Amino acid sequence: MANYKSKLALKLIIFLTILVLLNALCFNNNPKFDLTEIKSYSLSPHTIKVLQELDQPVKILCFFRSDDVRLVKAKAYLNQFEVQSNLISSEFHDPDVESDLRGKYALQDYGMVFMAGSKTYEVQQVDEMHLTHGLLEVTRSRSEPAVPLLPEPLIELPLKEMPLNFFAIVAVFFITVLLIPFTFVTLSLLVWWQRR
Amino acid sequence: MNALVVAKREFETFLVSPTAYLIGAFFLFITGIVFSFNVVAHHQATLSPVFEVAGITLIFFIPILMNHLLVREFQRGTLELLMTSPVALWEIVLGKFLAAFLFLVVMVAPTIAYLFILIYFGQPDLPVALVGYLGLFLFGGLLISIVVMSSAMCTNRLTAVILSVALAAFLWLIGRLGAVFNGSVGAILTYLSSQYHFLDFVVGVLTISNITYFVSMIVAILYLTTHILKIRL
Repeated sequence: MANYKSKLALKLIIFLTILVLLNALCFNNNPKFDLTEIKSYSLSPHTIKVLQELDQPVKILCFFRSDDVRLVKAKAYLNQFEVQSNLISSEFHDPDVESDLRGKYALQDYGMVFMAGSKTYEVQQVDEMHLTHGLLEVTRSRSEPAVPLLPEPLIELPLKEMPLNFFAIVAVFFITVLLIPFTFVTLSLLVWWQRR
Repeated sequence: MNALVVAKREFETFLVSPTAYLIGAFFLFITGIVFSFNVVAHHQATLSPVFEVAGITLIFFIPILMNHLLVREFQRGTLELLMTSPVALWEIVLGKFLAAFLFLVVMVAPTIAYLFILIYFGQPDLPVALVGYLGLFLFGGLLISIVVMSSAMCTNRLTAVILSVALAAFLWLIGRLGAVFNGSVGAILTYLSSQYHFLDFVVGVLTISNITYFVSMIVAILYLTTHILKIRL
């Protein structure tokens, strides 16, 4: 029995290791297909150009509480940034837990601090426009003009307008809320009746 | 091949179960309300909110609907009987999984009507909708494999339901812990979260790692289930 259990444990370990390795491989080489019509979940060509033309390392420190909705967005953007450029690195901190850090980086509120060389730049809003602007601010040389904010690229799901008249609304409600579920209720009753 | 025979037999029990249709009706009622509200209030030609709500709903509905898969065999003592026939344990587990998955397809299939409504009245992003369905089926497959495993571990149906919901909810929410931890621990916890992978499908983003996650989780859980059964018998 002990022999059987050790064999079983070995089998399980080998099998799970293969799956973990497979997942790690796919995670590191992870082609992404944004199938939305206007590529809503991809970085804009401008941001990609900025990232690919970086000539010095940029460290981005993120200070968000764990329940801050901006934390998830920041992670998603910075993942994409890191895919585009090896010069980007990021760290995430909870300023309420690591209170000394906020003072160290002179951060007034929760947000992100971009650091490159001796330059730092603080970003509060987590969207592609502000993050790209932050990158440009810390990497531009002194002789270059200040970087204007570019128009916000579309990052939300596009609203495909679908105006409906009264009869269409009634039809939609009738089909989806009444007809389809009640077909299943009828089937249930029929089956119950047959089994009785 | 034997797995298909088991699947066919098990699927037939779903088809003659009034409760299965009732739960299906309730599921379609909820998705119908979400769809109608989205269309009427927001005028959006998208199924994404439907997929999101359907995913959360399935965390509860699949365990309630499919908890009997192996528990019933234990209660009636039919698993030992099944073992005397030339069917391997993995074929029984796979058969149960396939039958439950097929019933999930039957339950979700009527929502195709929503897509036709969107096509009739507006211009939905069809690839996004198709990726959403792929995500819903992969996520449903993961939930079914959890239920199969729970029903192999428990002796009564209520315990199997509770265990399945707890495991499914844990996998769904573990990503929240990923936000608390920094570095590789945070990244691993986030990667383990089914929500993190499922929501990409919902918005129309297809990645190889998301598909690999779901397929490997399903395979791993079914493999574990086979060994749990081996130990219990």
